[in-house]
Formats: sequence, C-alpha cells, structure tokens
Amino acid sequence: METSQSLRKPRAQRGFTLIETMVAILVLTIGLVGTAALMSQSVNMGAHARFVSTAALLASEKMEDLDRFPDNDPNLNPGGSLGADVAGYSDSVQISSDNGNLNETTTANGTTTLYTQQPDGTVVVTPGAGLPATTPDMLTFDRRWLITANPTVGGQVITGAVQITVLVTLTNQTLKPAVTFQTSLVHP
Amino acid sequence: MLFAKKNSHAKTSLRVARSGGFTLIELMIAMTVFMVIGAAAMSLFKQHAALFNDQQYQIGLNVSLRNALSQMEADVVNAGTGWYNASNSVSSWPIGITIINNTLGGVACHAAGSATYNAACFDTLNIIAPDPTTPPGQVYVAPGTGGCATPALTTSGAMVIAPIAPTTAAQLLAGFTSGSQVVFIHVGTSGTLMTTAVLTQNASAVGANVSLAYGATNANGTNTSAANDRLNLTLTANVDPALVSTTLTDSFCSGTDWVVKVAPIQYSVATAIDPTGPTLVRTENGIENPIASQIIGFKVGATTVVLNGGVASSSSAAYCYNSGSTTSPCYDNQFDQVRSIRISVIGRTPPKQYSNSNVYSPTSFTNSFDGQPYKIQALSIIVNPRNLSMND
Repeated sequence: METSQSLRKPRAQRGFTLIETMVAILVLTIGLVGTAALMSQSVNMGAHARFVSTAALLASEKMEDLDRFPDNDPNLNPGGSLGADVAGYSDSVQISSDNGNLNETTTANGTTTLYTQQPDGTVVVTPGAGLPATTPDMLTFDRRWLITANPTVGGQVITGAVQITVLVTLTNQTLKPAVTFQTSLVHP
Repeated sequence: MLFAKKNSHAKTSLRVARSGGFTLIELMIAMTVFMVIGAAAMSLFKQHAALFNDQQYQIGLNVSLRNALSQMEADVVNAGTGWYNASNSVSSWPIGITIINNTLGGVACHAAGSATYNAACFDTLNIIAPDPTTPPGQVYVAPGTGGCATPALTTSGAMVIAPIAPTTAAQLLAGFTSGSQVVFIHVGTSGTLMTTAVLTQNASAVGANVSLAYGATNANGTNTSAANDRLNLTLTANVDPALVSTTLTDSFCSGTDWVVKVAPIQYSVATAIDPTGPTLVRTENGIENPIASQIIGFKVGATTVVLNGGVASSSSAAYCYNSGSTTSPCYDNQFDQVRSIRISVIGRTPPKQYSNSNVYSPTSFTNSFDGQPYKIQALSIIVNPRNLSMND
C-alpha cells in the first residue's frame, strides 16, 4: 500500500516550469512595488496634510495681523499681488525641525522685522533683516497678500471697506500637489 | 483491478524521464530571484516604517500645537468681557490680558545638551475677566455718601463694600474669600482708574455691608509684590502722563466705584513636576488643566496702539517681547494699550529614530539644538482681543 502511494506521487505532482515561476515572481513583484508605492504615498499625504494645516494657520495669523490696523491706515492701502512678491505686501516664515527656530519676517509701516524664536526661550527681534539661509530641515512658507478697496461681496459693493486676501505657499518642498492655502476677509 | 492498473501505470512513468519539477539549478535560480525581490521589499518596508512613524509623531505634535493655539485664541478674543452686570453696571474696563515676559533665555532656562527646562524659558499669559459667580460690591465709605471727600485708600489694606440690590451681602461673603484677586475700579472723570490686591482673609460682615482685608498697595496704585498682583496688572507700571491719562490710583469713592473679584485664565508652562516634560497648562479658578505636553517654547508678544493727541490712531508696527521695557515698541506693562498679541509655541516629538528631512531620507536624525533625536515644530498665531483699545 505504502509503496503504491509513493509510486503514484510523481505523476500527480507535475511541478511548475521555470517560465511559470518567473511569471509568478513578476506578479509578486508588481504587487510588492504597488504596496511600497502606496506606503510612500501615505507618508507623503500625511506630510502634505500637516503642511497645509500649518499654512492655514499662518494665513489666518497674517490676516489677524493686518486686521489690527484701523481704517485708512497706510498698512491697509490697496495693493499687493498673489502672483508675485510685492514689497510691503509679502513676507515669509521658516519653521525648522532641527534647531527648532521659528523665523518670521513681518512688514508693517514699510519696515521689515525678523522675529526669531528659539526653543531656549530667546526671542531675537532684528529690524530690517530677512530670513536666514534655508536648510533642508526647514519649511519655508511664502506669504503674499492682496488688499482691494471697495470689494464686491455677494454682488454688492461694500464702499469704504477693504478686502484682505492672503495666499500662503510652501516653497521649499517638492510635493504634489503644491501646498497652498488662500483665505480672505473684509475689513469694515 | 483498477488499483492494479494505476499502480502499473505509475511504475511506467517513473521509468520515463522526469515530466515536471525543478532541477537543482532551476530551484537555485528561482530562489535567488525571489530572495532579491524579498530583500528589496523588506528594506522598503523597514524604511517606510521609520518614515511613517516620523510622520505620525510630527502630525501628532502639529495637532497638539494647533489645539493649544485654538484654545488660547478662543480665550483671548473673549478677554475682558463680562464686566457688565445687568443692574450693577460696572464701567468699561480696558485691560483684558496681561503678559509676563521672561527675557532671560539661553543658559538660564535651558542647559545645552539636556532635555530639561525651567520656568525662565517661558512667558505667562493672563486673560482677565470678572468671576461670573461673584457679583461686584460697591465701595462704601461711611456714612456712605457719594463723592470723594473721604476716599477709601487701598494703601490701608482694608475697605468696606456694600451690596447693591439685587446683590446680597451673603453673595459677597460667599465670593470674596481669602486668596481672591480683586480689582478696585474708580470711575474717574477722564476714564477708568484701578488697582488690584489679593484678599488676605475671607470677607466679614459689618452690619449690612462687607469688610475686605487685603495686601496694601503703594500710594500711586502700583504693587511692589507679585504676591499681591498675580496678574501683573500694576507691577512696575510706570505711568507716562504724556502718553495716556493715569490709569492707576489708590483712592476709591462711594456711589460710583466697584470692587470686582477676578477669575483669570492663566496660560503658563509647568516645569516643576517634570523638568523633562514641560507642559502648557491652562489654569482657571485655581484648577490646572494640561493642554499640550512637550512644549519647549511659549512666547507672547504684543503690539500697542499708537496714540495721536491722546486718541488711538494706529497700531505699532513691531511686536514687543519685553512688556516691562520702556523702549519702543515695548509698552512698560501698560496693558490697556495692547492692540494685538502674537502667541508662539514650540513643541517637540517623542525622542525616537527619525529620518533626516521632512519628507524622504532614511538617515537617522539628531537635532542641532540639543543633539537629541527629536524633531521640533513651532507655530504661531496673532489674536486681536476686539474689546481692547480703539473702540472698534
């Protein structure tokens, strides 16, 4: 009985040919590469979401900063552009994960001020200075704002008000789609 | 019979050359190819696991910083509200927030190469509002006539306040307890004047009125000790009469002036319990709530109004991070002039193995700030407490 069974085996189990094996490996490879791509994408999407959330916060920060000026203040004179950096209507923020510094330039009354906040409790305020050189650990956000007088909201012209539109773009990371956030408010 | 047939067939096939299966060579080739692919796949997984964790921790930190900032934003925009009390109308009150800037920084607050912090690294933000459960009491000077012929002086450390209906003496007695921070408000002819003190005893009944005992203030309404002014309302305040009308006083009158118990919300960073885990805490009614852990930077800057002939006409361009300084754009602790505040928090991830850039790099990471394997993130917001200054 035992003999007859072992004798039967060779016929019942014809193995794969090399070609078949290669095809199987190819399929497996495609699967693994797909999974790896998925993982890489999930990591990038996590980063993307984080960057957009930061951009949104920085946009609202700028908007509040401009909103503190009263009507007819020179800082709310119509001007600026969302397509290009215009002096007096743009600034930048650097967030470093390495030395931990938060560098922010702001422009008001025609002068630029650099604020550097360090995790050792130091705040350095440097009038007239720009951002330090960007390193790979940094996120550099560019902020541009556009101020328009007498804006039209819902088809109605609001005379005497200005509209502030802020666009924040992450400039030093090559992510697709690009990290941008735009928001606006009407300052009565 | 059938069995026998099969058996004989099998025997036949054994004798013939192999009809399937691998040769050793084929097996080796297949295994090699498979191992190469497997190894590549494993290394990809290994790399991605680290990157994934890296992202998870940074996203977690981002969320925690954002939550903390939005909590502060909600509190700051409401700063100074609630001073109006239905029938007991208390005059408008200009101070909604106070800031205590720690300007030491550097080695004083954080030793290089260590993960520990002390309180000198951090600012404190106070959001000032009256205690919603304690009604204000009106200043009472015997025989209780209006006017200020004999003002009650806060330099004496004692004052009598009267309940004005519908407030009862029992409500005042219940609210003005030992340790309460109170604000004395004088409705002057050119604006509101004030000072502050901490009650040293529970309020006691004096006839129909209530007697308060508190730490005495200086003769100009300032306080010398933070123990008597925990909110930095009057500490070191050096009023510049050319800039604003005097905001501080020590004399308070019957009929117009009020004593209000303050229920501040305080944001500070606690390092006393665990210096390696600085925690941003929100303290309200003496109850500390941690709102973000591993906070290694908390700074509050402010802009002030620009006064033009005594009228607020604009806002200073730069933010000041040393409220006590008299050098522009700083404002000598005159918080009634604060126009907007900028709150920055810096946090750190758990110390883990991180990749070297924000997006894609497998090499391990140590930061250049203190050489630890954690990443640092900072965020900042600007808030305009709307009911402060400029009447808009």
